[in-house]
Amino acid sequence: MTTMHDPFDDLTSGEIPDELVDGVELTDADRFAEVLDRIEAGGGVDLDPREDPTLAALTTVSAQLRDTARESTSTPRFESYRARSRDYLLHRIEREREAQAAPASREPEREHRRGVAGVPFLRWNVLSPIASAAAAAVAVLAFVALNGAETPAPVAPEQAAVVDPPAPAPVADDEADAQDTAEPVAPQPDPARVTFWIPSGQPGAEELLDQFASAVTVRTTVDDAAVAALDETATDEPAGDTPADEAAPAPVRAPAAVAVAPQPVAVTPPVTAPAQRPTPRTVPEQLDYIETLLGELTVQVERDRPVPGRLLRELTESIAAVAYRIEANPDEVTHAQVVAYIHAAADGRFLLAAAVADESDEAALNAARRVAQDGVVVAGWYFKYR
Amino acid sequence: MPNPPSNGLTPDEERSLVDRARSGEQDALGALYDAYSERLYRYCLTRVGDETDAEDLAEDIFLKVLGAIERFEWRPGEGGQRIPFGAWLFRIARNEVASYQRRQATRPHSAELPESLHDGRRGPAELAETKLTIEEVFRAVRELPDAQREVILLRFSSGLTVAETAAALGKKVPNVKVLQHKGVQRLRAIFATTETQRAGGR
Repeated sequence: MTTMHDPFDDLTSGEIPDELVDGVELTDADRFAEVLDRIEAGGGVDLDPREDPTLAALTTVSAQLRDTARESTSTPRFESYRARSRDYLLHRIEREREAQAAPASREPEREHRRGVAGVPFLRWNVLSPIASAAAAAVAVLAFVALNGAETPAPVAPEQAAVVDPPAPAPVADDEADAQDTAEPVAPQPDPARVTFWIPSGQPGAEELLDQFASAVTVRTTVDDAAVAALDETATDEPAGDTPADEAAPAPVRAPAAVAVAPQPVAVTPPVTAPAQRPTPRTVPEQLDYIETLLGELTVQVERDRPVPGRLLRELTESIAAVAYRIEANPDEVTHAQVVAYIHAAADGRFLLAAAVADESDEAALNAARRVAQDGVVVAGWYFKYR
Repeated sequence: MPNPPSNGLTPDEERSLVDRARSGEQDALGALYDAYSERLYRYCLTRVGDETDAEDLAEDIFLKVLGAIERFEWRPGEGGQRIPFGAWLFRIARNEVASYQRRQATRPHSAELPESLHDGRRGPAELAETKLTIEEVFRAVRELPDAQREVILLRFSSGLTVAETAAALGKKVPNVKVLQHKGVQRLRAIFATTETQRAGGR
């Protein structure tokens, strides 16, 4: 092995001092470079090792280097990596550009930071119980004030006011994707709904209902404060400057009809609240989340409707995330989890093959198809090699 | 006459792709990724010696390059020729790898290639008797002095032309040719020693 110190080795940049390179060396370097140029251009090299054994040997070494480099990427692992990385990078750059193109909306930035579009869903899920609790507290206080704490009067079932959680705020694009395609839903029992029974004929019933209105107003105030708190944790930007915040539902004041109606009066939001989508952290959570997304995808495919871009992107990210875990940390996933994953990826592949998307979401659909296919392959390797 | 860019694209094709990518066309970004991903990964793998780290590094580099492509400018290089996109990409790659290695300097780690690369598709007999393994070749390259190693990696691992390598390294073409010549000479000596040792141990 060569151990002699060559002063030229120390040069890491800049020009080569003339005294370090003699004419013969420059000529040899030029000649070698010319031979390599011809090889790289696809031309033949008429090089007789007997005439110039040194140049022939150097050419052989350079070919060996190239072959070795090619072999290092001729592995299934690299092919898998490249497919996933390509989809991920293009998807991420697209999202970042969308976020830059629409600075007025904070939703893309939230998604970028969180990885999923979850904050608005989380917001209403968190706040509904808070709002309901606030309303209930006011109602209980009023009830006690009217009837005394120890002897509550019987209530007449025909007089009730029902207060539902507020309608969700108008949402940004990605959520709109989901909501645009939402089917009309029959009214369902809502666990967050709070029912107050108003004593029949009790004096002060109207005042009590006024207090309901106040309660609802208080609830909205609570919402704003909590939203601000959530915003502060989610972003550095001040709360309340997004279109969604600006368009938050106005405080719902109980209309006069509520105060006098003998029948239950429901102040029902026109749109059902979207489902909560917490960020999946563990493999089981991610698998559950993929199943949820596949359920949504199934509905879209069965109805022959374009799959929203949001759904496609979340599916792509989720399937790729589990594939990465299986590949990078195979010891951290169980056999059963990979079985569940390969089924999910195969289902996804099947569904996505039949899925259609709007023109603007075609790239997202293609990316999801590739990632689902890749997920099957990654899981297959897991079983093959472990 | 200088060789065309090493990515299989003509200068005009590459310029068109880059311009389209700068205007946000996903297809163009994907085409640039396809043109450079394999060679960038090889460069990272040879430098860091670990597949997972090389994957992460290559991805980070692409994210920076493609994410900042709007800021890429066709500056004139040596002889009035514009600096190719590949040279810009690998200049960023060099900096990123250097940063990575500075971070890693405080941590003990193995530069051995992972098991999955040791055998590849070659049979044991071929590995033992006819060719140096990937690991041996990469280890030899890492033994080169910095300047030679950079030229050898960009030329033979990443497949850049001499002109692209010069632009990526900020050197003149004759310098790159001399460094290339010296690097390959030294590798020839290292390979010969390795083969001799292997023959002696057989």
